[in-house]
Amino acid sequence: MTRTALIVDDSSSVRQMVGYTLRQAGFTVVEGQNGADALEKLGDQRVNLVITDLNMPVMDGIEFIRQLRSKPNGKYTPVLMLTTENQAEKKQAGRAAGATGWIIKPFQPEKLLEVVAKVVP
Amino acid sequence: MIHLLIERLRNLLRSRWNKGAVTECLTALPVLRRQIHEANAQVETAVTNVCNSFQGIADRSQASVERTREILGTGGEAGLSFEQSIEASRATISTLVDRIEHGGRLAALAVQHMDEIDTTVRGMENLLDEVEKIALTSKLVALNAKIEAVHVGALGAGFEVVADEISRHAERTNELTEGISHRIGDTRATIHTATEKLRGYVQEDHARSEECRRKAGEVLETLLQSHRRAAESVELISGESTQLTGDISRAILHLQFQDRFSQRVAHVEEALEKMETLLGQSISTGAQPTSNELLSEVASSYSMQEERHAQAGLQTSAEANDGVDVELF
Repeated sequence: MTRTALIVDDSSSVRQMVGYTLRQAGFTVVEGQNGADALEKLGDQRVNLVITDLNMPVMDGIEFIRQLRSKPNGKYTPVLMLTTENQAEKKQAGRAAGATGWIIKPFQPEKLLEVVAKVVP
Repeated sequence: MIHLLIERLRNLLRSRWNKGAVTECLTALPVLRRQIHEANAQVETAVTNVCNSFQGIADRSQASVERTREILGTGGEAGLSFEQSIEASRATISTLVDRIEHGGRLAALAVQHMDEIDTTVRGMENLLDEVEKIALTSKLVALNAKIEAVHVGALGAGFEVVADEISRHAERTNELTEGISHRIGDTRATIHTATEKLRGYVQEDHARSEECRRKAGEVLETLLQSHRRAAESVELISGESTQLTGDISRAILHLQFQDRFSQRVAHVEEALEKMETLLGQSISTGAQPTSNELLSEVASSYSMQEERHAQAGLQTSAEANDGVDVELF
C-alpha cells in the first residue's frame, strides 16, 4: 500500500532532499513551502507522515502543527520537526504543539528513514 | 567583493560620522543586500538542480538493473527463466537425437531382415534349380517313353500319348520356373539396392547423430556460461547501484550545508536591512546607532549555535551536526 508524506520547508533544496529520501522508501510526497501552503495543500486528505521545518515565513512550524492537530485528518498523524534549531525551549514548544519528534539538520538519509520507520506504522 | 564593500563602509563610518558618510552607506547597503540575496538564491537553485540529478541517476540505475534482471532472470510468473529454457532445449535436443538414433536402429534392423530375405530368396532359387532339373528329367523320361512306344508298335499308342502329356507338363514347368526365376532375380536386385543404401545410411547416421548431439551440447553449454557471466555482471552492477545509493545519501548529507548557509545569509540580510533603517533614522535625529541596536533584533532570530558563536566572536567547528541528532517525544 502506498504511503504519503507531507514535507513542509521554505527551502526547495531541503524539500528535494527529504522527498528523494522518502521516495526511496516508497512514499508518495506532497510539498508545502510554509505552514499555510501545507495546510491548503493537505485539505481534508490524510497523510501517513508530516516532516516540517520550524522557521518559515507566513506560518512557522509550531503554528502549523497546532493548526494541523486541530483538524480531524491531522490529529494523530506522526509529525517530525526537521530544523537547524537546537535550543531546549524551541524543542519544548514543538513538543507542546504536538510534534512527534525532533531532528536536527543536517540529516543522514538512512537515519531519517530509521526514525520514520519508528513513527509510521 | 561583498566583504570588501562592508570593510569600506566600516572604514568610512569610523573615519567620519556625518550626514554625507551615512548617506553614502545608505546608497551602498541595498546593493549589498541584493548581491547577498541573489547569491543565496543561486546557491539554492544549484543545490536543487543537483538533487534533481541525483533522483534521475538513482532512478535510472535502479531501472537498468531491474530491466536486465528481468531479461536474465525469472521472466515473470508466466515464463521460464533463461536457465530453465536452456535445460528444456537440452532435453528436447536429446530426445530428438534419441529418436534419430532409434530410427537408425530400426533401419539397421530392416537391413538385417533384408539380408534374411535375401538368404531365403537364394534358397528359393536353389529349389527352382531342383524343379528345373526334375522338369528336364521328366522330359528325358517322356522322350524315352515315346521311343519305347514306337518300338512296341500299335500297342504303344496310348503310352505315346502319356509320354507326350508328360513332355508337355515338363515344358510348362520349365516356362514357369524361368518366369519365377526372373521375378526372383528382379526382387533380389531391388532388395540388394535398397539394402546397400540403407546400410550406408545407418553407418553415416550414427556418426552424424553423435556429432549433432556433441555440437548441440557445446552450443548450449556456451550459451549457459554466457548467461551465467551476464548474471554475475548484473549482480556486480546491482552492488554498484547500491553503493551509488549510499554515495548519494552521503552527498545529500553534505549538500544540506546550503540550508544552513541560506539561513545565516538571510539573517545577514535582515541585519543589513536593520542597519539601513537605523542609519536613515540617524540622518534625521543625528544620533549614532550602536552595534547592540543593529544586532540585537537579528540575534533573536538565530537558530544555530554557529550564529550565536559568531556574534560572540567565538570559533566554531567547520563540521556541523553529523546527522544523528534525533529525539522522539
